[in-house]
Amino acid sequence: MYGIVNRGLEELILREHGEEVWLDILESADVDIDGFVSLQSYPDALTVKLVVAIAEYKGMSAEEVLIHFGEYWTTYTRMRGFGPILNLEQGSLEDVLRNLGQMHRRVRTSMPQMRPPSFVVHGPEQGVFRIEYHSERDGLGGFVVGVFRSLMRLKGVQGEVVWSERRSEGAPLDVFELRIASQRAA
Amino acid sequence: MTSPGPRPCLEGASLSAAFPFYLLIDAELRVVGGGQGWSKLGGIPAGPINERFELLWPQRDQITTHDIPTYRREGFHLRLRSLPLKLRGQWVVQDGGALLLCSPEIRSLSLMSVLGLSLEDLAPHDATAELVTLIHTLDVSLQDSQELADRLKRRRKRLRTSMEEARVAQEHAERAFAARHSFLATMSHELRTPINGVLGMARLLEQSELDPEQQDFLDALTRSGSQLLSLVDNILGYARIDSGKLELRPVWIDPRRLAGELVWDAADRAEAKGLSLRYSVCSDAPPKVRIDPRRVAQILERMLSNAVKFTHDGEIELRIEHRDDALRIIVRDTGIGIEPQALPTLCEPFTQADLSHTRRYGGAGLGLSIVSRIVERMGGRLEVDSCLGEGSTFTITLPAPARSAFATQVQEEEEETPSNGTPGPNAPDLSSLPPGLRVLVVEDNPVNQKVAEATLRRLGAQVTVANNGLEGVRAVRAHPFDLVLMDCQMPVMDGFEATLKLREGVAPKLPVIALTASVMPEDRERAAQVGMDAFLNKPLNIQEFLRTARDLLAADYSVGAVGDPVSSPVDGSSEVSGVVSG
Repeated sequence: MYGIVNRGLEELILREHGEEVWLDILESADVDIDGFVSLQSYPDALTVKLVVAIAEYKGMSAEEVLIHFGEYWTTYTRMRGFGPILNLEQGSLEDVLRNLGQMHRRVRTSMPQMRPPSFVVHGPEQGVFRIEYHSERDGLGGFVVGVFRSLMRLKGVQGEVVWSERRSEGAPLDVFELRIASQRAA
Repeated sequence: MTSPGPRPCLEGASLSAAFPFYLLIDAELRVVGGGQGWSKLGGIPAGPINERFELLWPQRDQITTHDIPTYRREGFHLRLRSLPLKLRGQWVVQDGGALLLCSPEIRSLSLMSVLGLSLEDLAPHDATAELVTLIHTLDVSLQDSQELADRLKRRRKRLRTSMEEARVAQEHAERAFAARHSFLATMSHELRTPINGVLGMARLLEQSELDPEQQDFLDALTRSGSQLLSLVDNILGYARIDSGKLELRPVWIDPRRLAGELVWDAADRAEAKGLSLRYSVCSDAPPKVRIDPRRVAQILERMLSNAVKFTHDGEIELRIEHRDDALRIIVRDTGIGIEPQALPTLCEPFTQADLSHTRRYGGAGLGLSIVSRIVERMGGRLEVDSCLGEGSTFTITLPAPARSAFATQVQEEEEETPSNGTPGPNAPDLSSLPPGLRVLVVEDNPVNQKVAEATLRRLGAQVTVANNGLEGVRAVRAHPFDLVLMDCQMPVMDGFEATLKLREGVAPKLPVIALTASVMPEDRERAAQVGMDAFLNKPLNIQEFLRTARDLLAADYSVGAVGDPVSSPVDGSSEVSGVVSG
């Protein structure tokens, strides 16, 4: 996992709980690192340890932490100037969703060791986007739910994100449904 | 005839999709068309190309019709004059004009935002999007690195501040420690000096003709003086331990010698109260154990003193055992006992089991506290078993590795004598100095001068008194002496300096005994450094002085007996034991 993800986790905790708590989490996760550099690659296990330690601190499950982190991710990446790359500012929710693959392809030039997921977007049909999520990694579905929620909020779209099919429950792949209730005028 | 096959042809929408920012130039070098990307930049910059664009590369004043075919294999860099936008591309010559296939030269996402462009406005084959992403990601990583550097800088600053605070705190602590230590040294000297005078005079009076009433008064005076001295010793001892100045100097020693004359002193006190004191060392105790005998003596002295103090009838037993490389000192008494609720705080300083005890028995409640600190420092433990009204048993366990008899024989030369100077129960007693021994007393306190002079004369010595170190040195220059009793802290010249002078030439080998009210360890060390032969504390213990003088002078002494230890075995064993008093 690239450092930008771990930096995002750090920023989330710093923002919500302050430096002392973050230092405690690093210690409890047995992570002996002063800070992360976005473009540096770190072992996935390190990110997992951080998520587990945060879950312990917050009294949440690891999946709940990932959803929470996914919701913050859009804010974090915009804060760090990645908005134009994601085309978050100009496009509609559908534009952003359909641009996810292109965005990951571009980012991969900068992060050659990245193993990005790909998305297949269907719909909307009767107000529902059905999104297939293809990833080498397991266990990050919660993060995707959080990201979709934040994108809907960013684009002024009300509705819910449903993790309708789960690989962990025997489905061939993870599928998310973005069920649109209404959209406020931009 | 063969088919001509597909011909490359890019026109209209296809050309615009592949090169959204292409420009179409006519033969007059005027921009006459362009790709769809220009719509985001306010439209195609139609008109003379040299008016709309500045030529950046090749290095020419402006674009000419001649240049286009000449430089078509080279890249052209242009700057749009109306916007902060550079283009880079190459010329394709065609009939009646040329095509400049180009794309915006964008290095940052912020410029892209300024121009109102998005990465989606670039052609998919155009690497500008990846380049911009890479540059931005690198920039973010540099920010991370800068932030990390700043974080380290902040932490270093905090660390420096903390170190500085720690240094200041340490200096404060050291100053406070030095002040406290100096106070202790001064108090030690100042308190013990007058007590020395009181007890010394009382001892001299004891040898006078006194009627019974006067003898009673004198006994009371001696008892009170001794109690005061014991109290001062305890307070100073506790303060020294509390200051962390408790050194351990373990030596190999026969456990049978640890109790030394402390038992006989305690037996005397017990006898005076009508108590008996039983003392035994278990028969299987090893010939040598490694332990600090001075500290053991301090423990025993206080434990026995407490036992005598708090027992009114019955007996006191001191038993020394050794097992599992540990020395066990068991002090049992049939005294007043301790209430269960008082046990947890028994070893806290200035605590006695009951406040009424302080009034009835006196003392500062420091004895057990000192014992427990010493025991703790030695890595041992103190256990108490007590029943109110029936007595108490204190068991002290101290680490004391044993040496076998064989090893003891082999390593006999390593053995050290107990540093408390106690000779053990069978040591001979001494009663006088060789007749006519010439002793110089160097002492500034007039009372102590009188005590020393009278005491030494009664022991058979010829005594000369000097008021300070300088006078002492002059006296030694002027007269022959056999022995010097040297106070340490004196005006004009102290005892240390005076001894140095003697050692430097006046009398290099004249035996010098330090006799001081100071009990600070560093004074003892300093005395050895300047060449003093022995170190005795005030008030002068005559037996201790006689033994020291005998050792230094190697002279003949008359020997007497002040107590005859009973050597009958207890429990049919070969233990060193006996009822020593009562």
